[in-house]
Amino acid sequence: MRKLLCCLITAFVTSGIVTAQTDMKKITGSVTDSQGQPIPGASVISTDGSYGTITDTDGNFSLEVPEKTVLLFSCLGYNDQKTRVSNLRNEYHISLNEDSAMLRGVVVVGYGSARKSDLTGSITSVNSETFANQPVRKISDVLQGRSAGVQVTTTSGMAGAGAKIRVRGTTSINKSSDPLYVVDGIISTSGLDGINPQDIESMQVLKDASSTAIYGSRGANGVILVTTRSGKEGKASITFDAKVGLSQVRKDYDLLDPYEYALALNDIRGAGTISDTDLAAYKNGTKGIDWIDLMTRNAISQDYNLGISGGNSSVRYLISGNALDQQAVTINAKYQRFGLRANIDADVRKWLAISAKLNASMTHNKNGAPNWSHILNLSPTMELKDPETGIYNNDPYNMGAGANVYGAIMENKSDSYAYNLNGNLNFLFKIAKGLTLSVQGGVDYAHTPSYSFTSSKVAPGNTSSMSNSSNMHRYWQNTNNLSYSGTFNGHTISANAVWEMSGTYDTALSISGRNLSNESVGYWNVNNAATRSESNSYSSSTLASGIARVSYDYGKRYFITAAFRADGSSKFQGRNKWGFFPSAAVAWDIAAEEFMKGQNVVSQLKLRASYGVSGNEAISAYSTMGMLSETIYGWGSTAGYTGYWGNTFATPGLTWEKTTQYDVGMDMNIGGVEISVDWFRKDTEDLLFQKQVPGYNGGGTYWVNQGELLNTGVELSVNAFPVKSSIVWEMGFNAAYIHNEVVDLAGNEFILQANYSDLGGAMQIMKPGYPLGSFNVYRWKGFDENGANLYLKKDGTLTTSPTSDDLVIKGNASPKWTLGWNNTLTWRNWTLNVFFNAALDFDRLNISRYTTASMSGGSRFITLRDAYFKGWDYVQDKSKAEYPNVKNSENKVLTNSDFWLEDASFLKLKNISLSYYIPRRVTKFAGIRLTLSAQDLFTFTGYSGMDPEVYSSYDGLDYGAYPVPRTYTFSVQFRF
Amino acid sequence: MKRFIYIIAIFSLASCSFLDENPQGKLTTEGFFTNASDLDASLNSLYSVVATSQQQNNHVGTNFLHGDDISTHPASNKQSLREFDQYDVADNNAWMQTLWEQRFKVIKAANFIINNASRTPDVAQEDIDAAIAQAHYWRAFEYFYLVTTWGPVPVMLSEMIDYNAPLVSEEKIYELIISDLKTAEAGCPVTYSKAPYFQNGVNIAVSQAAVKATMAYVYMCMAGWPLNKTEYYEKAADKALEVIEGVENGTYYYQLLPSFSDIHSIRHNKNNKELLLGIYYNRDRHSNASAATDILLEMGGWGDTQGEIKFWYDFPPGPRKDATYFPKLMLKNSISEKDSNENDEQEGDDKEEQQEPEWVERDWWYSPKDDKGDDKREVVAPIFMKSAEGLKQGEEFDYKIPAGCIAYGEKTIQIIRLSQVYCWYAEAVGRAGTGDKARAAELLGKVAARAYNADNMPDFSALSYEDLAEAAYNEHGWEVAGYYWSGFATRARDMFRMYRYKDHFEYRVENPLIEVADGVFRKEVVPVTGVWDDSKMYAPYPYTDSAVNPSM
Repeated sequence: MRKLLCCLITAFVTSGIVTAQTDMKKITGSVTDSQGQPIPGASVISTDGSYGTITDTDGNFSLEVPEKTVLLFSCLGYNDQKTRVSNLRNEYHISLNEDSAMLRGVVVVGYGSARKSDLTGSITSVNSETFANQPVRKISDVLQGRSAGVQVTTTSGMAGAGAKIRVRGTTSINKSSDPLYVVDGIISTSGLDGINPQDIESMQVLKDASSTAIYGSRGANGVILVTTRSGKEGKASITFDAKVGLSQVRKDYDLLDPYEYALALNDIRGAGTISDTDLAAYKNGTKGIDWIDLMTRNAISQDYNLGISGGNSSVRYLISGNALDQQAVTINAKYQRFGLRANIDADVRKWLAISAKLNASMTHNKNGAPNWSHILNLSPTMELKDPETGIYNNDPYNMGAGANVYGAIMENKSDSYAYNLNGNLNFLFKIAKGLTLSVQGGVDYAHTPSYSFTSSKVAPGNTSSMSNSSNMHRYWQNTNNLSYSGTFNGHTISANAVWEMSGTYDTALSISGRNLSNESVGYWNVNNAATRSESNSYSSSTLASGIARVSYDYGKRYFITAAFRADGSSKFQGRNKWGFFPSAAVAWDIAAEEFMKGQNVVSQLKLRASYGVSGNEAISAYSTMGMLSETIYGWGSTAGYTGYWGNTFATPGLTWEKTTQYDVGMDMNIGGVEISVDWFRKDTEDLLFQKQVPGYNGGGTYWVNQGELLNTGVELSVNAFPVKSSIVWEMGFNAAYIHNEVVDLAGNEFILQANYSDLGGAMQIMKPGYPLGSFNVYRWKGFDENGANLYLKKDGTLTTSPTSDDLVIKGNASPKWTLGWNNTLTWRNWTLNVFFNAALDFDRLNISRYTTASMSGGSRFITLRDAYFKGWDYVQDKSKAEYPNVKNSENKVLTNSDFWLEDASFLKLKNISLSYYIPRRVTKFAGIRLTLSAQDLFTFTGYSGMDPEVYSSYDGLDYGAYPVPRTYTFSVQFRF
Repeated sequence: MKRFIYIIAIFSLASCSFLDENPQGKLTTEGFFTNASDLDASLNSLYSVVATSQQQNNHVGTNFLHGDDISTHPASNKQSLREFDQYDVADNNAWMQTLWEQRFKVIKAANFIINNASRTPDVAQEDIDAAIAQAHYWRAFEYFYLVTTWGPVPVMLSEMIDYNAPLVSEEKIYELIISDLKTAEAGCPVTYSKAPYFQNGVNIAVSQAAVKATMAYVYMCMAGWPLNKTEYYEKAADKALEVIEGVENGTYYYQLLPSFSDIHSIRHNKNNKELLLGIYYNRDRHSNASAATDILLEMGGWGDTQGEIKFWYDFPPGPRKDATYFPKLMLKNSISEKDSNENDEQEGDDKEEQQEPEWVERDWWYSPKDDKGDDKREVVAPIFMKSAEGLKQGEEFDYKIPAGCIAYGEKTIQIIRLSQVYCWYAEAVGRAGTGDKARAAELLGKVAARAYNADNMPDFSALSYEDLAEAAYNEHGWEVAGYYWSGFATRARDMFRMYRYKDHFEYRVENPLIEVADGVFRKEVVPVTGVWDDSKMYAPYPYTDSAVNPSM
């Protein structure tokens, strides 16, 4: 469409050009887009306007011009490019970059679309071009660092692992704060795992309430709209690309080697713990295990994509397939994804257009991530396995029984699959001019079977076991959207009325067995197990909604939008079922005013303000009903006697969690530099809150609508072309600041979190006045004269044994600042992308370092080199000691101490890639793009752990978190 | 358009039922206790919760490290245990919070039955009574644990959440315990007739004799600290006697096992007729975590606990002592007198051939010194063997096979044994200063008969009431030494009721050397410091609860 438009306009422009006959030189050439596709109808004109032509349908042109003429190549939707005609060259092959401002012309909003310039709300768009030359393997990679106000935290570096995505902060304490994902109008309830990032045309992140309240009870956490690619009119395009990657662990801990560890054991556990013979063997390297080396590898990933698209004026199609095989950097584990998509759009009648989209995918996680805490803490001086029985040994010196991760990964088997099918059919009835009715139906089906087998060989005395589970998830949605838009004398009105119904249906089946009589059957024969258990479950919920929205603008200067949604949810009881979510927004584009007409520097200067209420209903079905808890007990036998007891409390009065949001923003375009600034305040009240039940009531929690959370923040995004000549430098920068604060905790003075009974209790605290993810720690103040840790007491004195009175709130797990800076430089056929991502002002509690340096919890000895050689006991000059005296029984090693709390601010070079494009005219059969890139090449941080970004449990606790590996990727793309 | 509105109208009307919840496959309190199976299912859950509450030592027993029989590792990850061993428990003691909550979980599961089970239709009244009686028993059992560990605690008799629950005095709590136990006594049968309550020839669920025995010990505690109502010793003796006579007249099947080594053996694990009450586990279906706790770190265990030296020293030699402690320890041969760094470099093949065995049998006090004069072993103490079990399911533990140990096992948690009832009877008679002294001495003699060697067999017949009480107190201590898993009548609880923590605290502060073998002197490795005050008798309330409840 863009190319067609280009063609028409250029034809008009060039028709008036008169060609003169002076000292002429004939030149030929072609004009293509950045992907190497020919651009027909592009204009080729001398800058003085004397000479010119347009390209033919294959993008070729020929022209007679005087030497040294400067030619301007242009086409609507693309950035202009100038070239001087030299006397040495007769051929000119020009590649035009897409004009991103044009591309972003129309954006998808909830239940409709709008011109970007008409938006009254705060919406961030991410287009496929911003990650075109980067090997993106999952959707969260697309969002990370590319959208202001969307905080993406990679929580694990495991292949196929998910990420934590927060739009404008965390809005719920006990229920999900994940945004709502909507794929082509249908809510994606099974996540985005099955979607191939290459199929994405654009993503819109709805942030302010006027944009999200239209999603009512599911909109409070922000909404991410995913639009998949569609076929385009014209000659069929075939693309194939292949990527091969090599990943490796970026940073290790400096651990004691086997000999050092053996000496430390003899020193601390008593001389003779390790025999002289073994000592010698550890010294000369004939014995000893390097656990990190043993458990990691250079991991290979392969990613193949095939896309075929095309169509004519009435039917457009896109078919794509992909296969991804990604090894984890830890041994014997990988992630695979296979996907197939077919999108068809057809204008069936003048009054009816249909659109059908089908996506089928399979993902496979083979074996899980090993526990990094075990890898880091296992004794290098142990024996891997008993040579006679083949049974893997327990660590005799450090980790508890069953921690031999190598044995587990070699002998156990685990496979989990997800089969997703998404179908989406839309009938668009064009009832009258400006009036349409869209009737859309969609299903999201996911079958997620998983299988596991545990061998008796993984540890002495281990019992073999197996399990199969088969979960089925089905979501259906019917959306009927009557929409009108019309313009009269500069007044534009658009309105929607929507009736929507949806339902989810989940079933689960699982069987498991213990003590297999013959382990060769693996997980495939439950009857082989001596003890068997089985379970099944069912859950279903429904939502009915009515929506109305009206937008009005006058002269593209004054804009106003108001919307209202009513949601009825089956999860609540009686009157509490229905929730109402109003919103409104206004905007004023000063640049469109008469008095601004005389200038051409500021093309947009729009002020926006919005208000709205959205909700959260994300409790599980039946949770208000106080169902009995089920137990299975054998009374000493292998039989399973099922029992029930009243462990949970019924909460019939429960209803929605409500988030009220205010947003003030400004969109500017000054001399081609696009700047957006937003301030927001998001107040979540009546939290769906799991209130702590006192221990003397049996402990646990129950649901209440109490508590309040506040998020305020500022977002900035800048898109610009700092250089736009033969070298084009496109730059996108975004920054967001978030302040999160707990206002009320259902009357609780505080709530302790992240409780580890083996590590000394709670690591974190929620308390009014402090942000979520706050750490609750003792203040470490050096060592006493015997090398025991000293802590600061409440009264300012020092003690070796602090009590709970001495805990203070210090540090926070969520970054206050997140920044992204994406740069694309294009020069001739070369493209360079450099993409930085940063998160600032946050902390991690480094429990990994704690366990390697302390004898506590699951670890009974130390493995960290510094903890021994810089330990109080070892160093001669005690003032230089960095770690406490491990031999002192008065010494208290407290995990929840600021000794282990570290600033985790980081700047990561997320991607650097260089690609070279070989045009079709050179290869004769296809345009070829070769790209060499590296992901997560460097991390600048003061954090001492393996990766400041990832964490493994609760919020920001690095307890054996899986680091994000460094990946080198080579890719080749063919465009036939 | 008209049709569209029509469709909307239909949907709107339909939405009433469209939005109703129908939780298939799940049960509500109201929809429960509708038949006999529900009654059984409620007991399955109660005992499951009980089994969880006793399965690991942060759920049960952490507090019994106060006892003079048991201590813990000086430096490893045993801080929660160590604080109890040192009589210096902080309100943030991580295990103590779980210990506290687990008690109330059982109470909650018991209340569920006590408050609802009576409405079960079409069931014999005695079955309902038996179910409710068992629930009363377990509620009493846990309040007894609470009142002897924390003193005044909130009393929860319904499923209401109460952030202002008041603390109830020890006296009132004992009243509740006795009232609950009386209900249990009336309702619990002598023997159950069907599985799972009766299996392998023994009662698995709470039987009448178990309730009576429990009452006997509770009365002894009421007679001791802090109520000091000594008149309860007679009641204690009477209740114990009811059990003893029931055994003698054949009403109850219980009997002393002939050999002490049978008591904690795998061969008698599921059919121990000495056991009045146990909690049963299975490795494949609800295992417990007691098996590795006593075994030393250097032997591959968790090294949670070890014996105190003085207690071991006083422990009379004989089969009981041999089955209580590891007779010898299997230690690595590398821990030896020779200087470990002497012949570092000159390892050769010829040396490999004539290598000595990797593991050798040693006395527990064996610990040569290193260059600096420090012990080569970190924990030099006698080691308890009662909870250890074989690596393979069904195998007896053999201390001579240093093959590592199993972490999750299935040894029955023994709450009350018949020999304990004999001891209580004798002690109660002795402390009451009245009653059948001869019978008490005779019963105590039965306990001693399998515990001592022939050359040191004691004779209790000529003892005064006071001496009889002390002798019984000591015998009971040796019977249950190191075994805090019962969560009931442990050595520490005996010391608590007799107000003897103070003596032991002062002993531990002094920590004298003891000559454990000729010329070998040993003392405790966990230091105890400070000055005694009676607040050390109780554990502090967990700060997680005291922070939300103003009355704590």
